[in-house]
Amino acid sequence: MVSYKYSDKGTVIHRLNPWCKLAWIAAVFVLALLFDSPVYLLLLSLSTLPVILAAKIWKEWLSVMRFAFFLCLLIIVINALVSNQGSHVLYQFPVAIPIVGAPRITLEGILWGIGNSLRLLAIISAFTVLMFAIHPDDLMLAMVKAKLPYKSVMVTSLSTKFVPALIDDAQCIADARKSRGLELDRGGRIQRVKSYASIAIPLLSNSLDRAVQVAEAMEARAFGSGEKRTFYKELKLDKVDITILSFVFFSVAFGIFSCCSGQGGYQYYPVVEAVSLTASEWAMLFVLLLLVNAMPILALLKRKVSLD
Amino acid sequence: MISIKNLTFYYSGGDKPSLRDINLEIGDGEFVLLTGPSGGGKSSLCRCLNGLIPHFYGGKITGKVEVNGLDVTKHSTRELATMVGMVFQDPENQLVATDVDSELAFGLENLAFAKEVIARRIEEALDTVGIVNLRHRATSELSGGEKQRVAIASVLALYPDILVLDEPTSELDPKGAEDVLNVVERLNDELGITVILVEHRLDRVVAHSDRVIVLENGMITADGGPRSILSDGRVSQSGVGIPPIIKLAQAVKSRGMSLRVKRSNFIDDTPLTVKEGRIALAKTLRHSKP
Repeated sequence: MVSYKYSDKGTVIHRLNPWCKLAWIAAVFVLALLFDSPVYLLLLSLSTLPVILAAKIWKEWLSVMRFAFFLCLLIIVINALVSNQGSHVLYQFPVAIPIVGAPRITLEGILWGIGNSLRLLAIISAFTVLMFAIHPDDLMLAMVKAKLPYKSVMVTSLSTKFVPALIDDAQCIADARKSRGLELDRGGRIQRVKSYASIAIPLLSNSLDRAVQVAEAMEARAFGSGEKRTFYKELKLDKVDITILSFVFFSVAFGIFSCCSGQGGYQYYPVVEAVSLTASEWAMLFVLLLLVNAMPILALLKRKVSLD
Repeated sequence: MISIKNLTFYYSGGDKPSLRDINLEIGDGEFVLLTGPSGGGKSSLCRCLNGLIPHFYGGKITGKVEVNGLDVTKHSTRELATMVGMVFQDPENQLVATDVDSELAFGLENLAFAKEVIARRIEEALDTVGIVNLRHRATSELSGGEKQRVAIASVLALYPDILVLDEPTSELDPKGAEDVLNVVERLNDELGITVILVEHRLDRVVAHSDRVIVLENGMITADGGPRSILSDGRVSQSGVGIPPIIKLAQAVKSRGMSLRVKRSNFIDDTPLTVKEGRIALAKTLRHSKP
């Protein structure tokens, strides 16, 4: 069982300034949207792996990816059924389905689904770093420094903190109900909805109680009372952090440049294109991926230098 | 110094007063045990002391509550936070940060203290409560007793003169409760912090308290030294959990034997600790031998 909570693994990635990680995630996001070529997207997805490995969050990553694969499968199936612009027909449904019509499965439709799944995988993979390798407090502080209102940021951070408590609470109520003879998975659909409602109602009332108690405890420690508030922890950028940030920005700029010069494009419809890259395109792609991975490399170097 | 005069309070929408005509003075450095049946108004009284009533709860308040000369209805919870520290019952629902040092920094940050001051005060508070080892731990990984001690440290960092603890041990295992109560006693002994403790485990804390106040139906029905209050028959009938050692003493006395607890300057007939009880009982039994 993988827990979906942040835990400080103390790796170079965990130790890194959150701004670097946030910029890196944003960069992968932008690059994933810039390019259409499945080669670019596949390699971009793979180039997130060094960060995942360096942060030692592969277990969490795997379990998120399992869910992502399911999502991708859904995209591929739905797109194959709905899209009928392709020209290589693999199978023509003999009967019409309401709304969709008689689906025509084409090679292009399936490939489009696969190509865009790669895009999604790259983005989700980068976001696992946000979930598992950025300390929630650091994230909160970064948000505040980005001039988001402190109270809203605090509420968001609190709500993520209380999700595990809510799950425990639900489990506890369910156990209490079961021990008094409630059978959650028995009976017809309506009966089951009723059984679950009998958990939802006490859960809701407990949560409201909890909310009031937390608010009270915060008020007792002067929360939100003054115009000004200081922050004990700071997000200071050192030279290495700034270097990493410049590399990340440069990777996006380089991506935009190569996109504008006509690289990384791809056409699925009406006839799927052959995937072929010239030597110079390969070279530029390689440079781009190297830039994306400047963060883990520099982070590792930083640790090494500071140890020396 | 707390001074309450003719305090009556209704929660908003309530037609029965939760506190009726409370008159109370609590001096600096006192260790006050607040007890009584549930729904008696203990929590409400606690909330009056740091201004949660009326600022957070609203409701109708009459009479006067003064803490260090400040009227709580006229001063904000922000001002009162540096005088009265409050620790609540549920350890889960009063910690807001992800790790211990941020938790201790929370109140200080809200009061806009400088970073250096915060760092120093965190250090002090951790040291005072004896949880320096928890400093970098995640709050979600702590045991209940550890969480409560973190909660105590987080209010101590604001340098309060008064510490109000509303059933701080009721959700804890015996070991956790013991750790928390030890800290509270030490804060009172060594730092002279006024302690107002709502607690059901009377047998554990009564020997340490200077004063016991019983609240029933929103009224103070008994107020005095622990020996006289707990040996009072009326108090034991009101649902207050009388410590077994006192019950034993009462049983001994009801059989016509006298029990004498010798204390430093005078003699009493109510033992508060097992040791006092043991010595007194040994004497009584020796004397009653034919």
